[in-house]
Amino acid sequence: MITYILGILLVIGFYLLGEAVQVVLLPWLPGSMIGMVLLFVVFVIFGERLVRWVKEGAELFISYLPLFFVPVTVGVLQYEHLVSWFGLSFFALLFISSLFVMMFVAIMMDRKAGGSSCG
Amino acid sequence: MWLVTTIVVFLTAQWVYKKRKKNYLLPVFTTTIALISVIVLSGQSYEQYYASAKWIDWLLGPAVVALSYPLYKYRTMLLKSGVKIIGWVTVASLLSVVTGALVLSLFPVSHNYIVTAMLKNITTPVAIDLAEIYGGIPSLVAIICTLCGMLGAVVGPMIYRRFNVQSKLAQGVAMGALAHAIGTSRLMEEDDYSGAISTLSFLVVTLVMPLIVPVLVYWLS
Repeated sequence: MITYILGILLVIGFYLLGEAVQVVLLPWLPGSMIGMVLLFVVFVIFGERLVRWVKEGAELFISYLPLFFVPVTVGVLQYEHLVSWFGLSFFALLFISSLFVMMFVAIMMDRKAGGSSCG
Repeated sequence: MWLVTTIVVFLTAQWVYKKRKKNYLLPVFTTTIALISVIVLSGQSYEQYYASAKWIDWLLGPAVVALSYPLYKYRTMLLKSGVKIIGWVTVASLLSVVTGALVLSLFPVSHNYIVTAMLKNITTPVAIDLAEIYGGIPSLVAIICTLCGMLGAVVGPMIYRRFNVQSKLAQGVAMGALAHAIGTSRLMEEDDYSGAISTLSFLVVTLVMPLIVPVLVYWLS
């Protein structure tokens, strides 16, 4: 229980630190990504001694990651005016492009790996 | 109120998903559709919804920070495949821009839509910032990135099964490079190694794209 709380607090702490760094130094990168890199660096410096306290809290956050996207994805409802011929073909082109590239990269990389499943 | 509704709908969606194991029942996707229906039917606006659900949105920040744990856990393997990951993410980003924005530029479409199209596979918060810098449409970028992420999270695993893509490296890079953090959360469900590769890949996208996009923006204008 204590490791959960400690882990959650430390992860939130690094998020706030990342936000602070963004405001002061790196306005073009989101604070969450700065926090991620900072926590990673601290993990590498302190190793297992620190990681075992954070592990469970971090895993808890990751297991609910999809939930945290929901308020943003629901925001799609503000764009009903994009339901037009232009809007639909614009979206269709971008979707097809994304899926084509995803398919291409996945297949090419997999075949290059020589069929080994370990990657 | 909407805060509780969101959590209840999501947990229900997750329960159904775990029972059925169908890709199109992905919780983030079904929850979004269900909530939009409820909000529209109840005659409320997104602003009213967001005022209550913003706390869930806030937790996205710490959740992204938490991804540093799998990155650390697999650091030696990631380092070993580092060059390969960076190389393929660069290929994916170039292809994404060429097949999206460059194809679009063949049509009479205004410049800010083309810039918007270039940013489609970048993680949403970064893409919004880049849209402001390079002359895209920030709100449209937000929705496109979100939809591309959801689409990749739903269709990606179908592609992997259909074409028998077994390498975790291939699965992680393809997902992270095209469906950023939303796709990563899908991979994390089953296996945190491919999830870690995906995390690193979407980080690399945010470093590679600011090198590709300005060149193209300059060339097209």
